[in-house]
Amino acid sequence: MRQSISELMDSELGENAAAQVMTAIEADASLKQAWNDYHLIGDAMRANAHVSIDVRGRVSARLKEEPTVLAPRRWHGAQRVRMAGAAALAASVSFAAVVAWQQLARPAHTAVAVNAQAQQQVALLPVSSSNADAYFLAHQELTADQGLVQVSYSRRAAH
Amino acid sequence: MSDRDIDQQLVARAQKGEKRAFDLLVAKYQRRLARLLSRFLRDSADIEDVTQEAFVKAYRSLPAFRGESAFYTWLYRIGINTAKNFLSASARRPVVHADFEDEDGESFDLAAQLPDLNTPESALMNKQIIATVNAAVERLPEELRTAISLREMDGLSYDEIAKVMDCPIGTVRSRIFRAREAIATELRPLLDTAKNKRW
Repeated sequence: MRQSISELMDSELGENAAAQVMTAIEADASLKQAWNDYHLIGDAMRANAHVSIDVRGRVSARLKEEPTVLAPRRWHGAQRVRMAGAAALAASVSFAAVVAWQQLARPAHTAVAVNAQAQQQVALLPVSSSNADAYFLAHQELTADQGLVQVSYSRRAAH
Repeated sequence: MSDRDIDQQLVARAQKGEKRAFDLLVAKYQRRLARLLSRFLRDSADIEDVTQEAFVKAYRSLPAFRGESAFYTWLYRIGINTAKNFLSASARRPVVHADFEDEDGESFDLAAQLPDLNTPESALMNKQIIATVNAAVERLPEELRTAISLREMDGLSYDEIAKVMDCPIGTVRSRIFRAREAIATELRPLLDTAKNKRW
């Protein structure tokens, strides 16, 4: 098994063999020590200046206090399509329900009030360009039914 | 199975709740991460603390790791951020060396040339470990020494080593393993002594 560890860290094992060796290392303290020693030897041969550091014990103690991490499962193939379809359907139903609720809950006079407010906002838009004013003055008879020009002109005239 | 695939397998196991799989990643990367952090931090005790903290943060962030980058790249990024936070909290200026740009830390080979800022104990231990390993390598039979050097120093695959040494690949497997065992046997008393001192 120790030779398999040596081969694992040199990327010389296939997937199944690698998985078996990993399982064995995790379960056996002496194999775990070999895994560490072999990596330490490589780092020392490459003259890593921090070969004496060893935080394994401290990290392991900290991790014992941590809740076990469980990554969310990934969805694959048909499973993913089914989940996406269900999510889209749920989103559509939710959207329709919200729109329907808004329509039913809105008072009848709200639409009229909103429309009037919008018209007022448009009418109060400032028109400051002198070119625009000249244009509006020249054509005011053609646009007399548009609040925009009338308000603008009357404002300018008041000054 | 490539090195990155092995890391990914270990991460996948840790993500399923196997904390012991994460221990193997700590054993593999702690020295390389410490070397990276030494570009920011002067004190060896700080380097050790931040290395530990970075691994804990990495463990907490495992659910978010999707394998789009290599594990060590992701880990190094966490390490750098942890070092920066540490420096901000302690209002100290970082030690940033000229080749900081190299994020993966693999090309950093100036450590031996830098001023020795470790504590005397850790500096001595570093020197003793490296000296013991080098002496053990020197004492190996020539065929074992060549095989382990081609692997660890030059990064050759077993197949390439077999071609260089003109021997079957099975022989390469055996030679590299025997070399590691011989070096580990000489190293073990020193590591046990250090462990007893540390704890």
